[in-house]
Amino acid sequence: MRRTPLHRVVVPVVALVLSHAVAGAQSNSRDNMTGVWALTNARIETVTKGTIDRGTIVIRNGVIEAVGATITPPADAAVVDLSGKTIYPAFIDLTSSMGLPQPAAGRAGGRGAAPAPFLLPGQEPEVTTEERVVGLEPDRIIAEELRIAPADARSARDQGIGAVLVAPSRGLFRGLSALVPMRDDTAARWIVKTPVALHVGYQTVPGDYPSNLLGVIAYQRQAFYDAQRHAALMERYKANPRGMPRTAHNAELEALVPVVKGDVPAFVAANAENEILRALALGKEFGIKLTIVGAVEGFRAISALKAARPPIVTVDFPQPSQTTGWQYQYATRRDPSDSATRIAAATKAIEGNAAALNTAGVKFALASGGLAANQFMENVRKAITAGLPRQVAVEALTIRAAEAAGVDAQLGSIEAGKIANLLVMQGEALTPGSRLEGMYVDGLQYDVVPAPAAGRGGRGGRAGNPPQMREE
Amino acid sequence: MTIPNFTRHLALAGRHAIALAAASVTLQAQAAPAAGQAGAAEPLALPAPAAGTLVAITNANIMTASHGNIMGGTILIRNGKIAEIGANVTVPAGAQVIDGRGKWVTPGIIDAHSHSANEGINEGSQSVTAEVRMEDVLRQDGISLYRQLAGGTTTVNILHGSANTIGGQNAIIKLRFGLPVDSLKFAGAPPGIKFALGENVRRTSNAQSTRYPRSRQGVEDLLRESFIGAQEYQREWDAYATTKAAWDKASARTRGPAPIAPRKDLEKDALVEVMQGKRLVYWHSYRADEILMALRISKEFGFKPNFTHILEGYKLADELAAAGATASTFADMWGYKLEAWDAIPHNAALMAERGVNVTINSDSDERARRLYQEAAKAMRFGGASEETALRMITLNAAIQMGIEKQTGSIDVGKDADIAIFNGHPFAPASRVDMTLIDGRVFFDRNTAPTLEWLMQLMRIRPRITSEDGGLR
Amino acid sequence: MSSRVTSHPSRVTLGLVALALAWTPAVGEAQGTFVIRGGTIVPVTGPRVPNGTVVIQDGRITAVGANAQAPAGATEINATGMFVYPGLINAGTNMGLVEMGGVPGPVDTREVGDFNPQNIHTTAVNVNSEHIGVTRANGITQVITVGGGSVLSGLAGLINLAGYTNEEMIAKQKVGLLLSWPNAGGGGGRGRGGRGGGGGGTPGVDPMVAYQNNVRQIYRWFHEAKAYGEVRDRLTANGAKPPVGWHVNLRYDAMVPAVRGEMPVIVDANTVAQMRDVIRFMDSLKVKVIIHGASEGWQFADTLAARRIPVILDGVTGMPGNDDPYDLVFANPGVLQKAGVQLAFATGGASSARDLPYEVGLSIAYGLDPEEALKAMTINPARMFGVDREYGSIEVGKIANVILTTGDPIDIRSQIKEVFVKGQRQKFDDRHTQLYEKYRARPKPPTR
Repeated sequence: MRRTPLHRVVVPVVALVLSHAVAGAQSNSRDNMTGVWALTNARIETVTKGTIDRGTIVIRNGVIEAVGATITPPADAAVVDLSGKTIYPAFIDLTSSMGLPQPAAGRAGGRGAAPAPFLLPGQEPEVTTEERVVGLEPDRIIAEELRIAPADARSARDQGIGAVLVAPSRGLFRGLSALVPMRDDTAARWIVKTPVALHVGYQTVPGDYPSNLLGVIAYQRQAFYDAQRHAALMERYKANPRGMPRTAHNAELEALVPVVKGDVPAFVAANAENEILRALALGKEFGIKLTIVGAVEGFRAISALKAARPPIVTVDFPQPSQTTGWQYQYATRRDPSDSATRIAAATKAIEGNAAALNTAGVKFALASGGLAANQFMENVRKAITAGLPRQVAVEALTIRAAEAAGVDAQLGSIEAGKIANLLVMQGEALTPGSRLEGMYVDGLQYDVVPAPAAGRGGRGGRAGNPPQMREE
Repeated sequence: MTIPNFTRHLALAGRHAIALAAASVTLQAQAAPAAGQAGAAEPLALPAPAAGTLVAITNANIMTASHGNIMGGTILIRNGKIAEIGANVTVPAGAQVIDGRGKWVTPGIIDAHSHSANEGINEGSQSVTAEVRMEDVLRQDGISLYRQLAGGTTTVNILHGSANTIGGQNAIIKLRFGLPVDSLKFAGAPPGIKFALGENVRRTSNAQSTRYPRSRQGVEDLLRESFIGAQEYQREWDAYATTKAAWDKASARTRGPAPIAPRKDLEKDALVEVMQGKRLVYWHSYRADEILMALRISKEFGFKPNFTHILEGYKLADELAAAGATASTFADMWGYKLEAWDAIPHNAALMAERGVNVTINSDSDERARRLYQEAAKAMRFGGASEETALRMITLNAAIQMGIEKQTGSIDVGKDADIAIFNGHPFAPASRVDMTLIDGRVFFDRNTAPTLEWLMQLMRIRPRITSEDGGLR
Repeated sequence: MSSRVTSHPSRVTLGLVALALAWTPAVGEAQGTFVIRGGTIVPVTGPRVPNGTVVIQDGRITAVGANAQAPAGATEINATGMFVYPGLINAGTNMGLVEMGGVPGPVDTREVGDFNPQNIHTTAVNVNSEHIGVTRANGITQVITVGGGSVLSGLAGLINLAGYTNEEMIAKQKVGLLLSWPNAGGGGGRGRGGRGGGGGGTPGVDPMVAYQNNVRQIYRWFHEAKAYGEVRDRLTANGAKPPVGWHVNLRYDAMVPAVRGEMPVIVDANTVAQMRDVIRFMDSLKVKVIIHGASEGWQFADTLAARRIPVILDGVTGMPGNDDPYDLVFANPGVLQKAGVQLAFATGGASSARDLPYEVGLSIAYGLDPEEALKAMTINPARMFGVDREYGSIEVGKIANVILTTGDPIDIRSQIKEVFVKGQRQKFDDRHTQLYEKYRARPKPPTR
């Protein structure tokens, strides 16, 4: 064995402190303390329990204490009259890398396959200390390194986003994500859930194995096989250590154990048709709980997605020419003057992705795919224009997202006992004329700034590549 | 070329002019499977070819590649298989008839060495990567696949690149262009693996490389070491099987805990399969010395050697024949590096003359469009017979890849993979008019986007003269 | 005319022969008198002669026809059932300038800098290159050989594929000035033989501005070379020595014949936009142009024909762009030919130079007329490069570059039976034939 996936000893990265995360950031919370609120006379879209045309929500200690049409505000509550407004559960974006240090460049140089050292029977190879390899860190615990800048939280809130799931956006084993509320004060201390999932993708490790999609997939498979065995060895040892050699400590493999046992889901970033199929094949091979994240070409893989766990569909729409099948047109007699029409048709299919999945009966969450918050909402509206029912979009941004992250007991709808992440709208959410007027995150009240005109948001690390044809 | 530039000259070219010519109607035609996944929208999908339930190619000159030529004969295809061949075949009513008058028909061309249709070629970070699989990274929609179809090619062997001593596992596909990626796979094709030798493996072009091996001696060592490692691995598993069997039989009350299986190693699994004869080896090779080394290693570890490139195979034709080795080579590539210096275009014919199963491959999306021309070079250089030359791109390739029972010749019971030429396939003015896979027409020049068609569409008259060509 | 019996060349021709012999001494035993009898003669410039005779004497074709008489003592070659063609001309290779791509030593294909019109590429031809014999064995008797890497890369030469020194091989040392037309970015350039230089994208620079600057530079070079030539001629008229302080400029010196239209400029240009600007350049500077590339020629064929601009097609086996018709590159030559453009073909790399007739064959399958295809490999390039009085067809008085084949050379199944270069009968002793014969004769090894 020249290479042993995950048999590494990792020197933990010294906790990074980002200066902007420390004091000094101005909070725009009106009352930055957990209080008691009674939001009255509002139209309430609970998402899970229908709409209350005129009702009250009571918030205490950051939690919804009561919700209904006939609730009397408690005596100690600050009463807010929201006549003419609609309250929704705050949106959740499951594809964020907010608050993470910028990924460092990959390690230079590769490990030459030096001849294996001579070993006596039963002797284990000497373990060498290696530095952390970017993108190959299944044991990276995002909750431990999060530093959310208030400005970032604010721009999310300004679009109605009350919580985000943070994970690195590149790598093949990216780490264990954390679901964070978008509050200004040390959000990392108020994490809703960690770990939510092991995040997996198809990027390579520069200069090292795996250096190619081929190796990435093989590496992932080998790692899961290793984790299965590691789990069995650990269990056996735990049951009765007598006479049994100890298993070496391996933080990376141990991070995979809950995944192979089905306790922690794997969130696999898969956008192109074939990526989706590859990811689902991996999930099937190991019987793991696997959620597709991205699925921008989900409309090309509907039958596969129907049989899978509900995906997290992102709205970072690809260009038509980046999309699987674009080159098919070059094999037909087509009118070259038609190209604008063809681009429009493809764009329609791409923007209609969520609509197509919905029509096919696939349940899904919607997420940004790394777009800036304002672009995210603009693209959700495009998906609605392309045929996604508005109500389904609202559900996909709230309860479906909460379900995907395993926090539907806490978030995603307006129900007594859930966390008070709410947004207050003038008009119907996700309609052009609507306006976000305020947010509650963990029961904290925040003002919002009207959204500026959407710019072109940058796209997160899409794994789909154009076909590469070359000789060898 | 930027097609939209022509737009203004297309005013008269109506859309109807470019509608696909309707395929001949077949009474038995079943609903063809939709191209792409359900939901894939124009223009990201291709119309799928008709099912090929009952097709007759009539009055054609048939080159069977297995049993000579039949002039003016008919091939009857039923459910994608060749059902009847001969001069006196009755065409049943309702068959889709392809008039073969004046045409020459060959088996669909098989390219024994391709790097098409994938999103990864080399996992070059290590010299042994038996665990990586081309089937994991296939991509179905590159226009290059269509261009290979337009050259009569129907089946290709997708190999790992030659960066590694032991590269990855191959994928044999049929060029069912337009269908989802899984439908491209050649059902029942034996698995294989690419091994490589010589300059690419020892990283000749990278003077800085510290990867072992950097010499041909090192390559031999690494091969032997890898196989011995795999043998030892296999012994571990054998021992486990024995222990496990004993444990299974032992009384449930007295026996201890179940034995834990050894570590599953994907890399070694592939090499064990090689030694068990379950996985074919394709040796990328140039020089005679390294070919002899490969023959020794193959013999030492008990597997049948198949060679690819094998540019100096002509020096060792008898050794190859004696070892039952197959050889797939270029028609006339030479001189592009030192180890290609003794390459001669007579290689294929000379090896064939001495009893080696020889094929001519492309290793290139470009040459894969005209392998029939490449095969003819075996007649020009070394005087191969017409049938021998034809077999080098059909039956012999099927034999090397272990799929000769399904394809590679025009024989009853085989898949109806067929190329139809407008003349003798080796004649200079001949081209492919139609290509069928499983009796379905995947290429038809009559409906293909040709330059002639485009120019008609653009209403270019021969002899319009203006200062700037009148086109922009 | 080909059926006419002409056994006595004119005095003029004899004079030329004498001159030619003075320049190119006879080589070895193969020089002599040959009579190829009984084959079908394909003279290219005239109708075929069935059962004809070709006489080769002292390097020249001295008789062609159904009843040509052979001089006494001539070596008889029985061509019954075979065909006699002029040797083929590959109009673009790097023959002799590169031996093995992966081995950097013998590579003389690229120079540093944009402005190197003075480089004479036949200078670096390695007479011992194995590619020469291998190419010749497939019936190709002449090639254009060029290096590149610059916007103006120097002077292409036409060489015969036989000789003891590279000087002996030269048929014409300077056939054209190589110019790589800039590209405004996007499109074109799909042929594989581009000589590079010019038009490379620089980050932050508008490609159109860069393009215009590059084109302006070309005009400047040509204007300056023209002015230089006029001054030079004035100063050196009647053998005068130029005044002290006047400097020879070898770069402009080399350009003078091309600037004056006495030598063609061979311009790499592929897109319609490039070709259109090349024509403007041609008209503005009154130079002669041969276009090399023309991958978008199918859109521009009528103009090229009307302007009588010859075209060297390079890379019939190149790949079309993704959105192009699948057969675009194969079919492009036929479109140009049908429009009346004079064509020749280039293959680029020396190791594939022998494939010339097969690449042309592909074009025939997609529309190129077979007779015109043959001309494109023989008389057309000879005309383009101004050597058609000596080469390119089987005619009395021409230098005897002649091949004997079992069929059409574009038919891959045809065998090349004899090759004459400058009247010298060539042995098939190229590296490939030698290795083939050596190993074909290898005795069976002992059983292992």
